[in-house]
Amino acid sequence: MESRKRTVAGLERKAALIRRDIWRMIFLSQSGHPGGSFSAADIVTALYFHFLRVDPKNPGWPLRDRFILSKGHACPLWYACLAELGFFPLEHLACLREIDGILQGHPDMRKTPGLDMSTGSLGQGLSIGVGMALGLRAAGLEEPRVHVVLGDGECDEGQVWEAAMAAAKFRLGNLIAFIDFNDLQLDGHCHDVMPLEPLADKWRAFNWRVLEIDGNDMGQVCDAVSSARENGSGGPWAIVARTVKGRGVSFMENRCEWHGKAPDRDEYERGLRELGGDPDADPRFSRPSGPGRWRTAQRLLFAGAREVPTRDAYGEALVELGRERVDVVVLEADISKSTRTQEFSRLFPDRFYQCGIAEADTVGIAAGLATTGRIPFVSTYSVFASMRACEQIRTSVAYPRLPVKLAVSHGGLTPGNDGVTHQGTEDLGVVRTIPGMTVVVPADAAATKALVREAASYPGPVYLRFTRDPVPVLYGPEEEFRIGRGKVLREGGDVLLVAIGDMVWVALEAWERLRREGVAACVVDMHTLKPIDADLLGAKAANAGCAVTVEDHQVQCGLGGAVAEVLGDRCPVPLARVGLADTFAESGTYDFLLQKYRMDPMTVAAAARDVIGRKEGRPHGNPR
Amino acid sequence: METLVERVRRIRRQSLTVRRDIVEMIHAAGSGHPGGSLSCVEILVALYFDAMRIRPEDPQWAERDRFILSKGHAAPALYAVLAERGFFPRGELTSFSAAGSRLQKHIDMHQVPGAELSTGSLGQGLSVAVGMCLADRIDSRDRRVFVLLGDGESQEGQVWEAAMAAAHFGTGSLVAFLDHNQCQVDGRVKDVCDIAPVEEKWRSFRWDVRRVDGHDPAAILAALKAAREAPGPHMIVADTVKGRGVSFMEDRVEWHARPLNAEQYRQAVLDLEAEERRLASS
Repeated sequence: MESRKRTVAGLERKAALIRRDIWRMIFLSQSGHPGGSFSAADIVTALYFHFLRVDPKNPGWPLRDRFILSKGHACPLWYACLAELGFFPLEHLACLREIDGILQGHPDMRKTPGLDMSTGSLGQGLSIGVGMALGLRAAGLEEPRVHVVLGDGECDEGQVWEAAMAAAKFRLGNLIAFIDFNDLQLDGHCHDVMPLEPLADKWRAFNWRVLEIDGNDMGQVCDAVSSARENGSGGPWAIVARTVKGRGVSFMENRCEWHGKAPDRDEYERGLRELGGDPDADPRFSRPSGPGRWRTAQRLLFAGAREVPTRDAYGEALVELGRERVDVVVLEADISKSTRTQEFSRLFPDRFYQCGIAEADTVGIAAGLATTGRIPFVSTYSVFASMRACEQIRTSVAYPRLPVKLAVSHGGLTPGNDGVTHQGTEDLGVVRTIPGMTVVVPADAAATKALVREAASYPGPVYLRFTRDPVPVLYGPEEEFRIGRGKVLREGGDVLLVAIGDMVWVALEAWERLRREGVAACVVDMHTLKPIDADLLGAKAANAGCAVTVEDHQVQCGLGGAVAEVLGDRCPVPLARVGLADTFAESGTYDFLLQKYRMDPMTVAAAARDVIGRKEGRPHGNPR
Repeated sequence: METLVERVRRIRRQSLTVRRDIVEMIHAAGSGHPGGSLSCVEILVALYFDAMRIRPEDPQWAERDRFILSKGHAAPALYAVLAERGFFPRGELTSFSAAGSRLQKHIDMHQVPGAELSTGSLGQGLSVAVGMCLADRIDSRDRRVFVLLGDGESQEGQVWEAAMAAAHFGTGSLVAFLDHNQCQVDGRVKDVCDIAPVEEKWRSFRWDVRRVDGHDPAAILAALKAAREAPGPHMIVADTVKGRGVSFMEDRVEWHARPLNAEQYRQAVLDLEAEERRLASS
């Protein structure tokens, strides 16, 4: 009894330390998710510092217990525990979400020692846990357990229930799931966004053994984990843990806005004191001094230009459409603050549907609304819409030719420091292959407003992609856009630069660089990827004799692929494709990522020189 | 006015006709899904010939109730019922699955009069039904939306996403049936990935749940009536038999998707004729 008391007290002290480290990490990076990191801190601390058999010196030890943080956005918690255990030096905690760093915005198992899985797209961790548990059982390893921490909002995802059914079917006694039930998700309280109760009954109905505890009471956490680990044969076990989001810092507790927000200095110091820390004492880790590897890129045309995230313009366009058209309805998957549909929801609550973190279902509901003459706009992030709900878009929207508008944010690398899980860099290729799908990527705020309006009246499904980060404003408010008609921004006969979305300004910057060298480039804003303006492309490519595509996307299947198809059919000329070269990117600022992944104006200008050099009758030359 | 007993007898009779059409269509096409088509016949007949407000002569009638066959591979059952109900000529049924036919192996809503949704990829129908109910709410229309789910289909997470959403939005006009024939392509549902306890699952997702014998028209009608009076969304778990009505198909997994040869077709017709005689003499 004494020893249990001592254990619990020790773990409570450890949890306070972990919370202080999390708080400092997020303060230093000015980015990250404190609320959900704090709510689960007691559970994860208890696991790592009392229950899990792991070896910091040998992260891949086959006999280790496995841990998956399925709610990957709470990774500061995971990182803090691993650093404290010695999986990597504490100093790394000062570089959360930074380019070239090992601590991604969402967990990357190939970058951070000790992570058993890459996560960040909600709903996927439990399935992987099932696979691990099966694998351990198949290998005859009876000791290791698999522990998965799920968010409560995450349980909106159908995949969680697929995995729940499978785990019970396979009678996985070596699998323990924790539901961090803080009753808050990005868009508000779970009981408003998508009620989960009776949550314990749900898990029981899926044939799990269930324990209900206060997940911020270290004693209860320890008892529950002991019981689940010791009674494996009765599993799988679900520990439904009532917690408080932001637990430990009074002004953060139960406050939705602290889901993904960093403290300012004053908040940091107040919070640190509440967590038992001393702002004046030497911190355990600090940012490295000296200049970093990356500098803000020099701009020739857009230095000091007005910049607006195109998602902001989308939010405004939606409100205007809502006023003008009663048939416009909006569906949201728990990120209305991020996708900018919140204002529409406030003004037109009867035409706004909060569907929770369930993208497949959201697209299906939109299809049903569309069969009744509505024009549904579905908003989530590009990566989730295009890939998580891809088959629903294909079969329940495109095949029945329903006018569902998939208006998605966080296109390309613009989610910057959120990292790979939130960067939609394959979406255009995925949706472009679907018959009858129209694909539009506006270059700036003005283009967004005009094209959203166009899309509302355009027949059939439309995929519209916006940026999270600000991009320079290129057009005046009166500029007119037609879906399917590219815009020539600069005339020039030496090379054709075809750009889309947030890379149009990059192409214009390249144009200026080339101009200063005496090279005349033609610049086209190909805002409609499909149906692509083949006539314009063919004519301009024939005139210039060579072309460069510029996109914030993989170079295969997106704009580069589409242009190559058209030019192959009509006018084969030397072509270079600038974009992600069949690789995932990483966390970092948008500007640095464009440089590191060779999607910046310098690269575009170099590609232009390269294709000019490959024109017929010219000596072959590669200026780089 | 038809008495309940008469309605039940009529539904039984009509179900037999539909079963004969299903067998004939799949035999003629040399392809199709007989097992899961035969298991849901009474449910579809009860809906189209009793519960649903529809106008076969005006399939797009704005006030109509809707039905979504989420388990789209049971298309022969829906086609037979729609033809029987007068949405299109019965003679067209034998074109099922043929090149150029409107009656695709899985449903294309733009080709089949009376079909409300293109289905065939499992797990998607319930979400679309929720959307339809929400639209009816905006329009203040008193329409109902019916959905038929397969039991194997309930393994799809999207079904549970939609289940959660339907309860959240309080879609009282939504009535879902589970065609619980216990079989799926790879074997028995309980072996492939058990969905039991079904009623508890739907209750824990806050649905109004009933369980009936899915081949008993009286039970189906009673459940529909009760669902009308309770707050929804409503789930009617219908215990059914895969391949029902054809002796060698009943409860046999292998008849999920398999055509009948000439001998099997003759036997199926004999089985159904025998049933018809039993029904006439009862």
